[in-house]
Amino acid sequence: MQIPCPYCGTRDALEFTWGGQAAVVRPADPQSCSDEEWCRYLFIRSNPRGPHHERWCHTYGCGQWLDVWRDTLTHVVEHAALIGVPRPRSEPSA
Amino acid sequence: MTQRRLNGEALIDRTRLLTFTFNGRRYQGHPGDTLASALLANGVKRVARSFKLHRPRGIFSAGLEEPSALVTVGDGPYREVNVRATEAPLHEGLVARSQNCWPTVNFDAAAALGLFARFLPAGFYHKTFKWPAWGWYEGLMRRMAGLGRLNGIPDPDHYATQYHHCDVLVIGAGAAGLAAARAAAAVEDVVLLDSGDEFGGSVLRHELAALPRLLLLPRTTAMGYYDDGLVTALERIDEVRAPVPRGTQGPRQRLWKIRAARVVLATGAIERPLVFSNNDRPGIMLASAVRTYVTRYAVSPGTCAVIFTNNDSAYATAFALHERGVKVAAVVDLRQQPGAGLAARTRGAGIALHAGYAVVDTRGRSALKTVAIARCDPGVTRLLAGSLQWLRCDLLCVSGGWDPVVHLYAQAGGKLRFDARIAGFVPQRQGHRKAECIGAAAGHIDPPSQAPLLPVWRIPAWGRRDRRSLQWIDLAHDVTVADIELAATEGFRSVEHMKRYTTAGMAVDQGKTSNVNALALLGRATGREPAQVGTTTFRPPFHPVAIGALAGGRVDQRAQRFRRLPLQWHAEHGGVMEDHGGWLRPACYLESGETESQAIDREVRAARSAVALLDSSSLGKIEVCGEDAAQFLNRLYVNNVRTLEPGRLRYGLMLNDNGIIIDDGVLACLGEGRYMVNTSSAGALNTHFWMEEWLQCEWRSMRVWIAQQTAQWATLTLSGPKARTVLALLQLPVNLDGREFPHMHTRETEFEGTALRLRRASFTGELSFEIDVPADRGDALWCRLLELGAPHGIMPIGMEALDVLRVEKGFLEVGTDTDGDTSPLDVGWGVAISKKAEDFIGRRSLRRPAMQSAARLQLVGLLPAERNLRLPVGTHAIGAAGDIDGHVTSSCVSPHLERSVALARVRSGSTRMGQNVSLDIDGGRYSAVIGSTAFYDPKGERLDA
Amino acid sequence: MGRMAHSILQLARHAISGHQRWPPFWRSPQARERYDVLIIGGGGHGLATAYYLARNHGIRRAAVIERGWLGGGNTGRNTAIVRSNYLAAPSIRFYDFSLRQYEGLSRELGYNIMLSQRGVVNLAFSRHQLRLMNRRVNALRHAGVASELLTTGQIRRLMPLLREQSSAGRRLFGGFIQRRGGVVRHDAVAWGYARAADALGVDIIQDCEVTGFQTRNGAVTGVETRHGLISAPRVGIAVAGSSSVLAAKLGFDLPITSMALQAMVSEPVKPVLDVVLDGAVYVSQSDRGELVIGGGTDVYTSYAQRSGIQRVEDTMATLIDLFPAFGRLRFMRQWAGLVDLTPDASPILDSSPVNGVCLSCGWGTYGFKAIPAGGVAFAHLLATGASHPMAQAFSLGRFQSGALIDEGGSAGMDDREPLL
Repeated sequence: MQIPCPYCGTRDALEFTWGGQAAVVRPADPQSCSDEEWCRYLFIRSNPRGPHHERWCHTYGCGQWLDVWRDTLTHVVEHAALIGVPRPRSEPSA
Repeated sequence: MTQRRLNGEALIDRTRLLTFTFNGRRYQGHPGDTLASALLANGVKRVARSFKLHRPRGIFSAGLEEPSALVTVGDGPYREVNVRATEAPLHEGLVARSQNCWPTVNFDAAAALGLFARFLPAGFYHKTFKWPAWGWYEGLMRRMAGLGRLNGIPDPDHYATQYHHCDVLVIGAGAAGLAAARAAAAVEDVVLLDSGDEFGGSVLRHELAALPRLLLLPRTTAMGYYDDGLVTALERIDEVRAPVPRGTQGPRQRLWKIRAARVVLATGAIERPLVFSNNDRPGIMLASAVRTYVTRYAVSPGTCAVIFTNNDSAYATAFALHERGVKVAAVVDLRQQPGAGLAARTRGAGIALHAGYAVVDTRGRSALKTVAIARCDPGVTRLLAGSLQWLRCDLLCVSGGWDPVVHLYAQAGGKLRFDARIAGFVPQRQGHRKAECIGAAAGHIDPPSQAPLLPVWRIPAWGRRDRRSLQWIDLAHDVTVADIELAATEGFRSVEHMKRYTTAGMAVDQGKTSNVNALALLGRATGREPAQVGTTTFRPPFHPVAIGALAGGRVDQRAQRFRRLPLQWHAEHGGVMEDHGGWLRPACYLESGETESQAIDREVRAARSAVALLDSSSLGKIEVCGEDAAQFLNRLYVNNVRTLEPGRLRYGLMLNDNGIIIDDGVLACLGEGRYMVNTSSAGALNTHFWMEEWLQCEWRSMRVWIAQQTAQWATLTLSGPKARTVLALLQLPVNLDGREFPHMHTRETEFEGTALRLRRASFTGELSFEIDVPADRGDALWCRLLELGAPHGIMPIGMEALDVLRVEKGFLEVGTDTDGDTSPLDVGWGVAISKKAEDFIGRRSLRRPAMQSAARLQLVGLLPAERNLRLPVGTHAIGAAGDIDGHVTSSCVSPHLERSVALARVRSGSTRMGQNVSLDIDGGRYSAVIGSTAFYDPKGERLDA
Repeated sequence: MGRMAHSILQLARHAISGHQRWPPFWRSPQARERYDVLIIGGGGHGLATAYYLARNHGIRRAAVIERGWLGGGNTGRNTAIVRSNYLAAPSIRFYDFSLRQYEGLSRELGYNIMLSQRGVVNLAFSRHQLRLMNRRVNALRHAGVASELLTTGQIRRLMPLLREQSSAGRRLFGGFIQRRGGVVRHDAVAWGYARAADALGVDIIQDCEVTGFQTRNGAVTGVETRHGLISAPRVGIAVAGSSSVLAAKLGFDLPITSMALQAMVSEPVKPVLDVVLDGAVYVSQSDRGELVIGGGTDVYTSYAQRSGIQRVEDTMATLIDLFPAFGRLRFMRQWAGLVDLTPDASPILDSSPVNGVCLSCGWGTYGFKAIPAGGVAFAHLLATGASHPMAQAFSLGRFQSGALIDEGGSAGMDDREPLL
């Protein structure tokens, strides 16, 4: 598997650390959450078979966390970007 | 010399002789021979015994697909088991012997199993051996199974790993592969690899060498295709140089990891045998293999041959044998109408051609002596009565067609289809995304046939006796037609079920010559076509690889990446270096004649009575700066960081968002918006990673910069009542007076022209100074302190002494006194947390019912009634009802208190002060009183000295 | 079960008739329109559940539907180790119940699953690890599960080829053994349960992929498959790594991440390792003589069931650091399973947010050893609607209440990245 780091270029996945599902929103005020809402944030994950939005860190490269769109069945990485940089529309959405 | 060597051109060097031994007998061969060709040249027929029934087996093929001729090669540390004789290059002094037989390959006691073969069908072991238990039979079974015997000696060789990137990787240097590589190399970077030693003849070699963008890798076999076009290949370096002794001469093998934009698979095809009764005798070989032995090695594997085929390709074997003067008794062709040209040429050479005939049986106890042929109907479903005849021959060359080598294509995700033209599986379409098969691997078998192949998966047996259990499919695992049919009868219809039930295709050859026959016969038994049955999954590696080669250079210190302290001093001065949280650190320093516990005791006393010197360089050192640094740390740590003033230190506890303690440390405020965080040694990397993740992913607008500085600084800790006295001798420009520089404060200064930081933080309970200097100054400062401190009784101490000191003091160690279930509420932090206003990571989780439960395990001190009994860590406390009441997490016999003390996690411990718990040590019951964790200097007066 | 017990006498009788009249292990029935209980997933867990549903609860109008072939998922892809040397009391109780069922399973099913109780050994390479092991040994003993600490000398006798001081700097401090632990022929477990469940009337339907669910008023009424709609008021999902995919079809997510678990075998050799090693590397020697080696999980979401090379290289490096004599032995085949990991390395055996649908998932890398207990408990849940007493800790609700059961260490996942 390879991931195209926007800083360093395409590198082998072994340089990267997986960080799970991306864009899991931490509640703005955790103390006002119910146990159920808090559980959802902490543990419940979409875990799809197919296209997935994840975060990876280029640990043995630039050290940056990235937004990565990857297919969990084929392992094909469709796009990688700095966190918060929107995915270009031209990218196929699989 | 040897009787089977033929005249004519060959790729061996006839001018030189090599002597080798096989099963203790000396033989001769030539450079260029394999062990197999040399054995055949010497007329050695029987080389191995089969896996299960110990049937005699000879050489079957001429390549890596060999299912039968597995031998042990080499002696002493260089012994290698399960070597395919067909792959082992001959060299002077080679020693090889048969394996899986006793006492000899010619007389193997275990062959008696053959008498019981009918009681040992596929899966027989599942149907019996249940009483009294499988374990009663297993030992014998295990000794019977296995193949070669390892020598038990560490492998003296080493191995290399090589990464390579290219535009095009061509696998296989046959005609198709060569053409593809040459064409591509004109414009792209190309790698061409092949299992053989050479690429074509000398003219071609010169031509290839002149292509600058072409890298040639001979003796290299592609093993696996992984994600994104990563191909692994094994290069056998040892084959081109003297075999022993080799230890220091460079790697034995090299694992290539080649990343190519495009992979061209010119991997050819492997010939498939025909399945008939008693088709496993030595002397029965693949027709193409015989051709290879004749033309490449000038060896005839027999003196009188019969060819048995269902296709045109085997005729070339008949002609090759005939042209070199080997008698060909007959060509037996299952087809009623062989290609007219071939038939004429066969007859013209005086070779009998039996078209519409089948080989139906063979005889020969130790090796093939005669074959029976009979006339069959066009579909080969029946044999014609009265048509049987026996032909004398000692070599039977069989061909059932060709199977393209599509392993890597399938591993790349390529789909296969069954091609009736060749009765084999071929790539479904050309132009797979990254891997493409060409030539024979794509199903284009050369030369084009004059008459089509006749797919026949099994030849009927002659006579009324059921011979299906003597019709071998997988020669390596002794799997027969009867086994496949039994699987089908019992409901194992899936090809994967059949494979697992019969073990067909699971031997060392992975069924390279047997898989298609097996699945086709499963189809026949279940009324399906091969296309409907499908293949099993093609798994890497294509060909087995030495475990050492996969480890590659990752041996010795690279096999496990322990972190190392910057100081070299310890190991040279009796330091017992061990793994402590991923760092190699001294457990203690042994002086001559001392036991470990004496050393630890000595070190502890020095810390309490004089001064100890500890290498704390492994402490994590992470600098956190920026205008939001205080807020950032305030969110990451349980403690209130906002109120930390410059020059001061604060202990910090870090949780994950599930409320579990993951690290602790000391935070230093070096100035406005500038912090140095000292993490635990084990957490040095993870905590930095953790901080970056929160900063980059969650709190992206915060103005914070984080720098990992752990390895930049050596940290030396002076600890003990005389710590200040010794430190003063360095004459730093810092007032060390306790009122000027009190406990939990930090100072930055200079020493001999470089930065130096001081922290008054203590993990021992004694007056302590942690001194940071640049890592390369650590050794010098260490030695200087030892020298200056000598008159004051300074002593280096290790981790075990430190453990005693901190347990006496009741200091928590994350990961020792906590586990994956420990919250800050469980270690007495409830009050501190209630005073903090802001949210921090993990705070919300602490409110969940299970975290609030009164019955949780809470950290307490224990004073055992038996004052001298050191409680083993992990000792359990047992409640009145026999339930688990807690466990000991740390313990020592305190030299200072002269009694045993321990830290423990006890159910509802914080509310049970002064009560007794009952401890179970190896079944004996011991009592201890629950108390505070601070056993030593509970008021901390010594710290504030 | 006597009627269908395989035996040596039977073997002899069939030998005379050329093994042509063995009855099939299971029927190949067409799915009925309706079942009382429908189990999705024909792996060890699903098949064991079907067997215990019929045997313990008398529910025979039940079916197991399987997308591919029986036992083709993790049941046939694991390293076949059985043990109960866990840490938390609920885990020890559960896994030891499972091991005890395994001990009687060959006779119960009339089919030899080849349980080899050769002992499972864990190694400590630091004093710290050894101390943690003592806690585990004591927890096991307290639960009545025999296990013992081992000195380096005892380990040397058990594994003569193991190096005590590795060239990487690992030093052996000791270890512990559960002697009742061992290995099982994994495929035989699926086949044995399938055969027994079939004999009790359960329909086992292969090549039958689930495409959707039918629900009414928040309760399941049936399952849509490639073979059509099958009605059932109760549906059990036991599909390991695909749990989230089916949950998504039902409209909920799970605290689960699917990953590839790598494994590999070497070529067969005569006996060189007589115990199961469960530690820095997982390795045992099969009865055929192959070293069966666990390679750990690739730490990222994957449904590929495809092998990687990185884990193999790392695992082999560790293996020869401990056993340098294995350097010239050849590695023969690698594969990957699709495992469903929970944050606390403990399973989920509970009802789901959709009425009538129950979950047996989160079996991660430790599902094989749990098959008999998982089957008993899941059958109980499906039959009665209530959790089996020994499985109450494995609720879905624990992720809300915070009552997690951290088994990261004993599930063999010490080096995992935090899944939070």
